[in-house]
Amino acid sequence: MQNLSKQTKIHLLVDRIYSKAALDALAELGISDLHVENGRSLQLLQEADKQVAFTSKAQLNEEQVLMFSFVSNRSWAKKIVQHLTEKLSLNIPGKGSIYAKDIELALHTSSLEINEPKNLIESEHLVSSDLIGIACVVQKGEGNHVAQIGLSTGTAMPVVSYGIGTGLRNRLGLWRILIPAEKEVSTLVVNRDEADTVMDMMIDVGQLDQPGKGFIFQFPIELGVLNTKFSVGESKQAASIEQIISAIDTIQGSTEWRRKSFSKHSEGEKQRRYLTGLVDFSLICNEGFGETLTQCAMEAGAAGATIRHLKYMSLHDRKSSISPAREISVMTIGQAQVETITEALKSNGLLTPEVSGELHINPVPKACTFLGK
Amino acid sequence: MAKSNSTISRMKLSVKEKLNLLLPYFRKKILEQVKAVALIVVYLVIFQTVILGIAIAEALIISLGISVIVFGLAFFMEGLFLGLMPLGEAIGIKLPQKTKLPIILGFALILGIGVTFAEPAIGVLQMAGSFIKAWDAPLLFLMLNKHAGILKAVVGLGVGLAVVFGMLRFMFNWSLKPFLYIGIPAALLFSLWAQFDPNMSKVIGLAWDSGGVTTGPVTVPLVLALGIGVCRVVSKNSTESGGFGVVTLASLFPILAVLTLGLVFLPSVPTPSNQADFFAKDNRERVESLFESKQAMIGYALRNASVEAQTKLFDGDRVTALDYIRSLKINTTLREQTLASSDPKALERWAISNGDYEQRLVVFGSDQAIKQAVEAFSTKQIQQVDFADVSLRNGLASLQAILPLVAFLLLVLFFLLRERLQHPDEILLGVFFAVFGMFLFNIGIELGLSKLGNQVGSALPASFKRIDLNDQRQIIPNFDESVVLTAISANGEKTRFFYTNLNGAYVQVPYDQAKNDSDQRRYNFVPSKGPMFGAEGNAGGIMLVLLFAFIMGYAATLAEPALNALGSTVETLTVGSFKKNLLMQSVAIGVGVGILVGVLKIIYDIPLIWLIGPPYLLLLLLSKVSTEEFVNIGWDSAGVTTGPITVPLVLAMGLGLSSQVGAVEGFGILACASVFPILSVLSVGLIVNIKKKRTLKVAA
Repeated sequence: MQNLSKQTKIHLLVDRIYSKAALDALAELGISDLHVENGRSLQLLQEADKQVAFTSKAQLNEEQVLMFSFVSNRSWAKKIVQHLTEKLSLNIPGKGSIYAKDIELALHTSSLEINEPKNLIESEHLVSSDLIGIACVVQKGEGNHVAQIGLSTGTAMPVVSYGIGTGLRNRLGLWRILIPAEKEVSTLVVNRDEADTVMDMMIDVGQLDQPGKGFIFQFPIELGVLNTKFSVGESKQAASIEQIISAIDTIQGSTEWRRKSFSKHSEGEKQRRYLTGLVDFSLICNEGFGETLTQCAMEAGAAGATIRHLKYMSLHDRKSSISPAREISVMTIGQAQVETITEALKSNGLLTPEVSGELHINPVPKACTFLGK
Repeated sequence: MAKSNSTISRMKLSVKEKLNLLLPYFRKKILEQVKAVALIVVYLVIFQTVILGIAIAEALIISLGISVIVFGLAFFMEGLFLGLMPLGEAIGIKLPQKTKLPIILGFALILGIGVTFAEPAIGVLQMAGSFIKAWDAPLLFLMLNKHAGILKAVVGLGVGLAVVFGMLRFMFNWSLKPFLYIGIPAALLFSLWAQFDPNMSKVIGLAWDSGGVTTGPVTVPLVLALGIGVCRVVSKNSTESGGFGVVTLASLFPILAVLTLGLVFLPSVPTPSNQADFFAKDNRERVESLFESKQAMIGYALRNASVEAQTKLFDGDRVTALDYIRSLKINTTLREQTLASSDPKALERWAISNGDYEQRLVVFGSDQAIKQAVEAFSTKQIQQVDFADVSLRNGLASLQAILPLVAFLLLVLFFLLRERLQHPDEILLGVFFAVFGMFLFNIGIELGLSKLGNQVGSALPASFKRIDLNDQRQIIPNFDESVVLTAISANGEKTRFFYTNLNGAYVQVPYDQAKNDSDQRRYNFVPSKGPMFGAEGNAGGIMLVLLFAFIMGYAATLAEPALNALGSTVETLTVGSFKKNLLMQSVAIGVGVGILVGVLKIIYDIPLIWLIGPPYLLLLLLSKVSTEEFVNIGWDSAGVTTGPITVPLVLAMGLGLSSQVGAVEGFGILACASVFPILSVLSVGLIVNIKKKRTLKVAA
């Protein structure tokens, strides 16, 4: 396909109280088109706080985070990540995360601009590479359960967001209201060699290979600076574990030393089947069209989707047809289906100003759900 | 344009599969509501039977009513989330994109006025003021009766303006705080001034209560959803999740509106005075202006005032007064105008319940006829519940509350915005659920919760004073004055009493000459109860009442549908990091405290302004240091607390207490129940923020 343009999509996750700082930094960097999504981050509560948290068994601290994402040219990716790390002190644990994943921008509305950074500052911040994102869609209320694996293994700080599931449900007529559509999407970013183990543990905990439980998939992330603050509470040491990690990172000059070697998560007899060779096919459009367009995609062969609300922001006050209220519909489809579905969406008005759609595609090396008996 | 007709085959479900889906769904929704309602019901039942030790009358109907509430709430909430809220949000998103500001504001104004008329909150206020007497509070009487329509319109205008300013706030990203800094002190100063005018002081309670009751279970979710929709589109370059604040303004503006209305009527009304002076000749013209007509005034006096005061209406001439009553017997139109009833027996009924001996004589003619009539009217005491009537009334009320509003929104969507509905089947089903749910829910309230609340409410004063249990009245036949004994008190005062055998227990009953019908040898026995801890007005009894008030407020709030909707909305907007439960618990505790304070107001007759002034001033301080988000949520939660579950219970308790302690008006509890939840929510917000700052400091 000739239309695919290779870009990078940068995700910046910060606590809500840093939102102003983050927006200022992005505006200064010359980023004009971006999307924001609400999410909640999970951290473990340390011993000292245990008595306080008598209400929740899980001992989790939940905070509201904002997830900014924007598209830029791949050649800028590392520079942008380093720049924002410097500006927002993301290397200090607890300040937030940033990562960049390569995407192919299959189609996009003419209103969209590929962000071109300016005023980049030179920064030598350490950046982890070879990361894997794990996204897991489960029923609302189950998100924490699976996401906690990231905390208990010390591999990632999970972020959970809300979504609406479509698929089987939409084919039931009005009976659909009996099946809750609300989903939770838990996203973790881990090192490549930990990814399979973490994913397997999540599948076990969430019984994701059982019918009706959910869906989990991996996606490659080129580089990022990740939040290593997995727990909150009073520290009893002179330096917190996170501070020690960041100090050793600096001494070692890389994050390589942090790689964990898990004992191969082999349960012997159980051979799990995975889906491979898929792509994450994300459709972003003005609010109100997500569902109809997803329907079109499903007619063209997609299996189902999770739709989430996004907010579009134009930091430079450009007039465009893009509505501030946006939706993202994430479908996981076979590589071979991309063309048909793209065409179907295009012919159904994806690029009209009213819809102002865009399509982001990135590979999904491994996925798992109930595959039938 | 995306096409909508789907070629994807519809899946057919077998009956068994449908049941497999339906049953767990149903069980979940019902259980949710059982949990919500259980606390308040169990609490009321235990309080009445175990603590007050009074059996529950009509237990069967009450338990039926309560189970209907559970189903009603389940349907109503589902209807909100399926139909009304998505509709509101859809319009909110499209409105700023497709129309201009003046049209949005016009829409907001109509919507605000519309919701006030749809939700008959004014009825609640009229009930709260039902036993105020014209001579005690003429201005209040005028506003609740003759000018009730104007009152309603003015409150509606207040809510309309609130929605208008709410939209302006969203569009231009204004903070809520300036509205509070100006509005609250203005309302407080106005009330403070009003406190020193004998007429206006009675209106303060009405004004502050009307702020609380205007925002009902349909208005709040709808306005909230609309606001969230608008905010998702207009709040440019802000990451705040907005949409709150309209409810606050809709509580604030009506206060000012009602006080202003009072000011307008003030010059024309008579000053409060005793009955005789009130109906005297030189006061006549002003008093007459309180009523629809001269006849209505006379009728009111006949029903409510003493015979002496009634005679004043006929310039002190007793004969003219009796002549007037005689003329009522013949002149049907005059009777209907005077007694405001088309019942041909209205005059007789009035004579039995209100008339003195001479008046009865005029109506019935002879002593014998009076005796017969008294017997005839007093035998049909027990009222059967008329299920057809209850269903019809509540059915109409719920249709009226929801359908016109939905129709208006759909018209706006189709014709003004030229949009289609995303899931028309789902939304229509939701609207149907909402109407049906509200219908069941209202029936349940009327048959179950209100009755239970009334029983507990009227028995409650038994904890600190002696009260008569009128629903357990019985007639003792073969009564003979020889069973009456005499007792003497420590200071030599003699009182008479007798023993009666009540279900095997010998009970002392104070003898009351008036209750003894010596001709028929019958004693009209009304069992009484209390005071529970020693003397009348003892501290223990009052503590018990306060404890009751607190727990009742707390438990009832947890069952409120509007608060549930608000809590869910907050939780969704913050992706679960602000838990619904935390919000509901803080609000419920606040309401509990508020109702406790309101009860203090009634028992000790403390002017409302002294009870709500200081908390509101403290609130302004707290709002100053709180984040914009918490200020919005905190103040909004105040508006939603007083809903269909709390209000009947609070009113029942308030009326029960007021009539026992002799207060002029039962207003003010709701106003108290509005201010304290704001305090608790803002305090919780501050604590959460301080904690968070500390953990972030550790990080840095």
